[in-house]
Amino acid sequence: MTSPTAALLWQIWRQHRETVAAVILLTAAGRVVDVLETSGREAGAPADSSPLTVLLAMLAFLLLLGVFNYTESSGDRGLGSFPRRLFTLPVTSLRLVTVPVLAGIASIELLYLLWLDPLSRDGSLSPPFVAVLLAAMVVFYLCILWSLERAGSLRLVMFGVIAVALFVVGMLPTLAPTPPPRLRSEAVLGGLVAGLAVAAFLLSWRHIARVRDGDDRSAFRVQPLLAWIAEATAGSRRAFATPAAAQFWFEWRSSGMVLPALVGLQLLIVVMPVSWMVRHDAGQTFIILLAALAAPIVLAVPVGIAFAKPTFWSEDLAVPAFVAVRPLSSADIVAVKVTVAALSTLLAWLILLVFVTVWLSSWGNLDSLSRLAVALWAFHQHSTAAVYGIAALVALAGMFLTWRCHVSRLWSGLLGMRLMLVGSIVSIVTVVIAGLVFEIQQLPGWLVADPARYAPLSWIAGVAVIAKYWLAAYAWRGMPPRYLRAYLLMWLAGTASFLALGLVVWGMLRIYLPLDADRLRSVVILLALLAVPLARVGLAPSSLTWNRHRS
Amino acid sequence: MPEPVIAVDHLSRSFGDKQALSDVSLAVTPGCVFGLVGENGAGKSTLIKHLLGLWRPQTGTVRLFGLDPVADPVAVLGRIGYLSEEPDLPGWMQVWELLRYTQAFYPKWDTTYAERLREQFGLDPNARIKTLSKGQRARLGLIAAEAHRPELLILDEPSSGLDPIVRRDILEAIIRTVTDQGRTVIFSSHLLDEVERVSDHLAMLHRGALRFCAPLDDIKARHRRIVLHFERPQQDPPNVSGAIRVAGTGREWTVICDAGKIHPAAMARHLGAAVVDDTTASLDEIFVAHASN
Repeated sequence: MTSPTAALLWQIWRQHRETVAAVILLTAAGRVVDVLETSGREAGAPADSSPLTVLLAMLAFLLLLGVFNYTESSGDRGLGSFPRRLFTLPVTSLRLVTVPVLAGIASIELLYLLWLDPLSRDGSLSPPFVAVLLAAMVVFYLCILWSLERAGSLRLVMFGVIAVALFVVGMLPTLAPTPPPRLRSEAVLGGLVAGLAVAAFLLSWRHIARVRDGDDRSAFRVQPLLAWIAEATAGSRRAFATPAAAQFWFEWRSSGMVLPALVGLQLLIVVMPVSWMVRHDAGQTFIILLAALAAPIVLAVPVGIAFAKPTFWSEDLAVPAFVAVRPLSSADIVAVKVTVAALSTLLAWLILLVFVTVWLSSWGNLDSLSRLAVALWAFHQHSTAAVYGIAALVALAGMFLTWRCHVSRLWSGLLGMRLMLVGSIVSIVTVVIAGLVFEIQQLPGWLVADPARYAPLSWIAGVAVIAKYWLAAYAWRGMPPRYLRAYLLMWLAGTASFLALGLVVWGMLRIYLPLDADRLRSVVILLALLAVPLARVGLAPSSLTWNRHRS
Repeated sequence: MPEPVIAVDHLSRSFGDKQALSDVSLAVTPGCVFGLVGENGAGKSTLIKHLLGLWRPQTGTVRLFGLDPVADPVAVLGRIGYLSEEPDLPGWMQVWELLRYTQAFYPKWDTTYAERLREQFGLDPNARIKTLSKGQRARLGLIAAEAHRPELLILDEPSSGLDPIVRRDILEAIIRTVTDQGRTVIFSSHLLDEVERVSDHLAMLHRGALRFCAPLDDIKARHRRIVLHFERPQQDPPNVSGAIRVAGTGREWTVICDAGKIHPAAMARHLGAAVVDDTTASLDEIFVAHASN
């Protein structure tokens, strides 16, 4: 090895050579699939790449990000932090930071070059603009990993928010009108993103240099801010009335603010600027509104995975002795977690609804929304109350769906088995990627196109409902009646809201569907009965007991 | 005879091929300080985790106050104070927050006592736990474990890696606890002088098996340290049947043995040696003898 830079690069290669091989294999397979499909395509057929090609490309890019996860774990934090052992090398901090960043940028650009043909075939974006976005993504990724190490696995969610923001920025030049105004041109947006990436790089460098000098504080100073908020909202120093109240305080302070904070962040850095940019476009405003309403639900999925573990901020899945030795039953602890999730969800939705109200009443273009409201009003015998009722039902169902994503994995997370947790994450990622690649939005159309497809769906949903209630009866058999009563009320409220919304939407869609589709109404009812977890929450105390008293 | 606070009966536990606990049986009576010693990996922490109900017995039973800590954790844990070597206190909490949080779980929490200890230990109530030194954390953990005046105080190597002042605080806490009538302490430690100072009963674990479990005075009285002098240098250790350990070189050899099993003069005659010293073995010598046997 002739230079420190070569040694640092060799280390990345040595540590991740299997992943690099997988990236190369995926790329080769993707290109072969693309060539085969392109050669077999009829003249005049759409020039888009196939879902399989896009899936392979996405996997290759995701794995490449894994290669440049330039951190080392010190035990209980799975993602780890910037490798501290490198600080003893006779190398400047600038070089320590620059080598992985530049290597990451070079690698992702090379990979993009290899995928350039299939990924840029539709011609909507120019390759240099995409290249800038990809390079910036690598810089933001490493900046988040290094500078916010105390956030643990939540850094991946933060990176997800940044990635979504970059995706939205990438879409902005394609929005109407064409060509876009100068503010939304590729040159201006590319320059803006590149500038932010440079700032992120400088911030990372400064942070690592400070850590090396013994100042281990976060570059973003999130902790002092959170601590200040916590101090301000700490309340009295009086004793807690009950052990459950103390445990609630503990859980809330540990993780209760995460979902509301992420929703607020998403609104601030994605929805607010984008909604301002498309304020003259009613259609885009409506789409942004739908995306904003979906944000808490989507964010509740990764937050729910972390929340399901015994300790939110730790990768260790065992129940910490600090909690395990408290004279509190597993059912009490789970009840506290379920309540914290409910309050967290309520707060997240409160932030969202306040923002949406301010946005729509200030700079939002309400034309599309008004048309929809008028259609609903006309459909429901000119009843304004019905329109407001449907809006309230949407918000209520959204809240229950968010809460569902928050608590539905408690039973597997509290079990303390890494395989279950990883399996849960892999299944979600697989479903999301498959949904994106195979265009899940076409599923309803495919379903109603052939009445023969209804019957199996009804049977599957029916069996799932029976299995759910059978399992629920088993899971809740030993639970204290007070928890059973309280949870049943919550479950009933959630199921009723899904049922009501499902039937209202069904009533409106029904007129557009063929006569045979009537049988789908029972599927809507069955799906509503499946939406709110019952058995899974009932199983959570047993999982915690199993983890708390290990065999 | 009073009902034992702790009753462990034929407890065994293995992790894969490793036998962590092997057929351990012991009983701890109320009001005693029970020292638990053994080298690293001997099974002390594993035994304590069974007592706390954090591990489910593979075979055998564990009872605290006559209750199963796995089946009835709330009733058992409410009567226990626990301090481990590395108290995993949440770093984000402030000192006063931890005490307020812990207080909620124990109806017998003595706020005045907790406050007095906090002041005595010089802990700033507004300090964050992550900013405290290891010694300060140990002291805070001790307050949290002791302020509800538990019937059973379990200390799992609490003084490991701590300075003498913090160790003194911990020992004083043990003494305070036993002066309260009927309260019991389980004290696991590597530091044999500390164990000797405060314990009245002692158990030693070696590779998961219980080597001895008896009142400390009995253990010390039972173990003898006999120094033998040979006329000629011995290449190999003399074969002393019933000895726990034989160590030395040349003409001088030291035998640690059970006093009830060996008669020193007869043994020396049999070996062709002379007894030059016959004293009570120190706890350190007893520990080393059993650990190396």
